[in-house]
Amino acid sequence: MKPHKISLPENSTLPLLADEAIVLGALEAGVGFVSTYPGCPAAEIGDLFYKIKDDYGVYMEYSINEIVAVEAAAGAAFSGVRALVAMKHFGINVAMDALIPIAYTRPRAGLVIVVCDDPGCHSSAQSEQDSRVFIENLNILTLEPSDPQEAKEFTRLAFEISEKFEKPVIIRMTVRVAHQTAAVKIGKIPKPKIKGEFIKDLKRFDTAPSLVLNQKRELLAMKYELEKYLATTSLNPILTTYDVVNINKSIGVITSGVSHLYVLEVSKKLKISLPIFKIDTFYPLPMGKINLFLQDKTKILVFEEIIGLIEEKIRAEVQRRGIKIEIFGKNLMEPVDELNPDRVIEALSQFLGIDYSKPEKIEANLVVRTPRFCPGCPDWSIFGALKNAVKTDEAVFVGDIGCYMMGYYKPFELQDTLLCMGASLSIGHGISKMTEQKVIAMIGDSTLLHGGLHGVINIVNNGSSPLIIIFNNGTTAMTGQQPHPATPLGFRTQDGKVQIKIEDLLKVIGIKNIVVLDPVSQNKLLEKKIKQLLLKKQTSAIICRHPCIYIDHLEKMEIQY
Amino acid sequence: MITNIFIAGVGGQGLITLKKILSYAAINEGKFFRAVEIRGLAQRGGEVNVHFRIGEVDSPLISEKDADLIIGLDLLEAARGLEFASSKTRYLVSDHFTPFFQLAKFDKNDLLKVISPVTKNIFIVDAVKICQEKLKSSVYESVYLLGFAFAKKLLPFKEESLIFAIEKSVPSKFSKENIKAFNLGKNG
Repeated sequence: MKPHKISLPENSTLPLLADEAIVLGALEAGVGFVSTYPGCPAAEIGDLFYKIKDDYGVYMEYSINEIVAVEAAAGAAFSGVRALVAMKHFGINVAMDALIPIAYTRPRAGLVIVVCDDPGCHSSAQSEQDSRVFIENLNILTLEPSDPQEAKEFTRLAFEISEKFEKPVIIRMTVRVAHQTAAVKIGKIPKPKIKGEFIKDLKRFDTAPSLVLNQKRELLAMKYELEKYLATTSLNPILTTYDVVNINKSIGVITSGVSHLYVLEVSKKLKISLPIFKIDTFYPLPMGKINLFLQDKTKILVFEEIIGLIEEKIRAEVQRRGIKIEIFGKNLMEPVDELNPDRVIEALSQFLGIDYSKPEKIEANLVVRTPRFCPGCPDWSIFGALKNAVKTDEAVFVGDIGCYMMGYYKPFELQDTLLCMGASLSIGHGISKMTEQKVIAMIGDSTLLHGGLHGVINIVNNGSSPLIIIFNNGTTAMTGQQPHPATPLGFRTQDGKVQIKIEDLLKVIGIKNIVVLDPVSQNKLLEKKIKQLLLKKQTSAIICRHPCIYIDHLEKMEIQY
Repeated sequence: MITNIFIAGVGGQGLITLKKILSYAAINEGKFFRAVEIRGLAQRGGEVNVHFRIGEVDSPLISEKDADLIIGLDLLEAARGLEFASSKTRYLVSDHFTPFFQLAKFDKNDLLKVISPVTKNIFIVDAVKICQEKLKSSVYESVYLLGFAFAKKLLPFKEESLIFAIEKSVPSKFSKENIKAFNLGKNG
């Protein structure tokens, strides 16, 4: 992937993903600094920035991981430059250590953090996570758009509010918002400010022990200021759907994110009129307005993806105020998998006591299509050599996040564990320490740099002997061939930097047996080395260097032995 | 008037380009639309699908049995669209199957077995073969199907909007070939 010209003319209407609309909103708000680590369903945010950064004069980087991306963006915002950082759901897990104290600080320019969840796990292994749980701990404004146009508008607004309140703002989307396409109108894009100055102010930027409790008090108090301010905006609207017959004023529906669109759709289909409260701000919840909404209600139904967090907060408020309202939500929708119009129509008709017969499902019983490595992918050769060199029961194959996790599927079926970015090394270390079994830890170059290096240091420091296989294809392949620090020169985000060589890093850390080879042209050698090094009592690493086929035609890797 | 189009296929078959073309055609005619795609493991032969809805719609996702048109770029993936099919649904499928390790064969008859109890409106066309013969590449398969769908009046768009949209959606050096593919499909 290389930067290239994309035209975004003012006043034109373009079909954009909400991810891309975020980019437009940020450009219109004058964003100067953008950082990200690529991950689905947020990858398209960074990818569009990468394509247009030179044309619009925005600084953009693929950072080494999400916490680094967040810290870098905070540094830019501390210096008075508007900054945006984007990540997938699991990214916020990595970034939390920085995000919590950053919420205590007061950036001098807008700081917007975008997090995209993947209910239904369409593009994620690992887990079905609800990132809003973390936001509870952050206490910062969180906006939830439901479509691309809102994604753009909310981003602009996020920068505005972030500067007004001198706090970071989060935009949280789920996959059906992030990957939803609609017509978006392009506004005026100003020339961004990309030079700032860090003006010292301890109480503002330093979370020293003597300052931290006051900072937290300020942050918590801001919730009420924010709520007051939000009440003056068009956010959190109450509306009535499809005006046919108002069946009952004493019932209401609360929606958030994409579920709002499903409820609108379904109420048209059922020809019912319902008071709907669309919640745009997960934090702070517009509790004043919610209380007004609840005043004449006897029962409400809350729609939200994954966990019933809004539902529980409303339940707590209702209990605190001692009012009698029946609250429905996750009791009608299991908190697993994404919502869709069919789940919504079922829950809504149950809630309303409407006779709705679900269309009879015809089961086709089709074989699930498993993904496979691309034709010509070097991972074919690496797994081929592993399969030939080691019998499945002769070693524990510890997997990691990247294309190579498809080694789990036929014809290889070489993956015994899969957890999170970088886990192969430390899970492998634990197994190696406590068993007599041989361990093969498989990790890609981007994942190693993202979250694996401390695992390597720990292995060397504590002395275990997994054989580390590094899939060095020169790119973050799984998410769309984004560059990383070990991407060959000439195919990089920042020109002029020296390429980081994985073998140099491993050597400095103290791994004694390091082999670098081309798994395709030296496949027999790879097989031999796997057999040899698996017998060693020390840690060994084989760096399998061969470019991803999608970068091969753009730039040959500089292979050195 | 709402038109619900479900497009199913395998990564790399041009589903996202089809989505782009339909989007630009809708914009050109001032028609409201919402679309949503699944493209997780797109490049790795995984299944990809696009929901494309035109008209007064709210949800980007099509409801069960509510597709007007199902475009399949792969026979098996077209069969997977069954949950969106009813007797009113038109099926337009490329006579092509991308095999994988668990399944070596899935042909026209296998597809018909699955979908013909639900709908009889089925077109199965040899898009890959025709594109390879006439245009020297199967990459035009999706645009060929688009032309075919247009000719069968399955799309709520004018021809000039679709041609404009093709030009907007594919790299300019391939636009001529894509328009050829569209016309081939139209006359197919």
